[in-house]
Amino acid sequence: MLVAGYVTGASHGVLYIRAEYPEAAVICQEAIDDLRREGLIGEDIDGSGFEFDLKIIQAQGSYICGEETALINSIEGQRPEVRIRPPYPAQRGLFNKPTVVNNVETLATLHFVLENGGSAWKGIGTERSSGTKLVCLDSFFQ
Amino acid sequence: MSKNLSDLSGRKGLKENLFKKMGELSMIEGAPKNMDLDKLAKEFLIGAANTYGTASFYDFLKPENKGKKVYVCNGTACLCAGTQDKLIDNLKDHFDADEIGHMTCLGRCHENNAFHLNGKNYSGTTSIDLKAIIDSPAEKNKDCYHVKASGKQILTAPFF
Repeated sequence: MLVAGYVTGASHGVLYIRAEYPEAAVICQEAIDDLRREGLIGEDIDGSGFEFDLKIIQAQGSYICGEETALINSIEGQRPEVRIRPPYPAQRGLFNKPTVVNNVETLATLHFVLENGGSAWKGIGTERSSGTKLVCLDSFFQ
Repeated sequence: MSKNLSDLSGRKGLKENLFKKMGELSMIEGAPKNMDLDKLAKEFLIGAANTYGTASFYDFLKPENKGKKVYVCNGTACLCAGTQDKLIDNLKDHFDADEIGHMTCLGRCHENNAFHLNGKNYSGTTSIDLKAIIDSPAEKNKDCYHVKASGKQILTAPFF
């Protein structure tokens, strides 16, 4: 997120965490505190002139907030109803500013791609659906 | 929803976030008081209908959430597993019926019997000894599970 902020000129990153995952919020806040202690987020990071900060917003129980525009409305304190697109969040998102929204599943893939390259990632999965995908299997077995 | 509301909320942005403030107001009773929603609306220069409308949307801000102490998972996996009715019966030994609420999917789909109490999630066989969980201080309760791959690690590969 820090790198994305640097590349795009963004100065804020928001982690929107479900109320149903309170432990996730605690762990993420500890990580943010570590970054702040190391001087890797905040103003004028490492004397570079770049400023970036991370904030956790705890959701309050609404499944629709998994949809990116509903999520943006939620952070703004509006009813988390889905927005009509265009404009897309990258054009008009949070507080009407350009916003990139990514799922944590996407961010979790970054380490593999950075370490092994994009071709290695494309080599997993199918031609039209490369990489991994998390699915939840439910059934009632008797 | 409304471009104007986005701008008005953006005046205070993330530092004094409207949604976060509503969450904080609900922590005492389970839902923010109407007069607090009125005050918030004035602070952000929006209508009371907007703050009321937002609060009523969420499971943990709406008035029906008041008084809830424990939440049972009503996600698809737990419901398919058929564990939740018995769990609610067990919880009724320790809580009144209207103190038991619902949360949609605590992410314990592989174990079921999932419920949430005092900021922690529990599932599987942990829910058998409810008395121990309820009686111990929150910081003593640790119920977690490790996520790992059965084959080659990709998302869960360590990176240090």
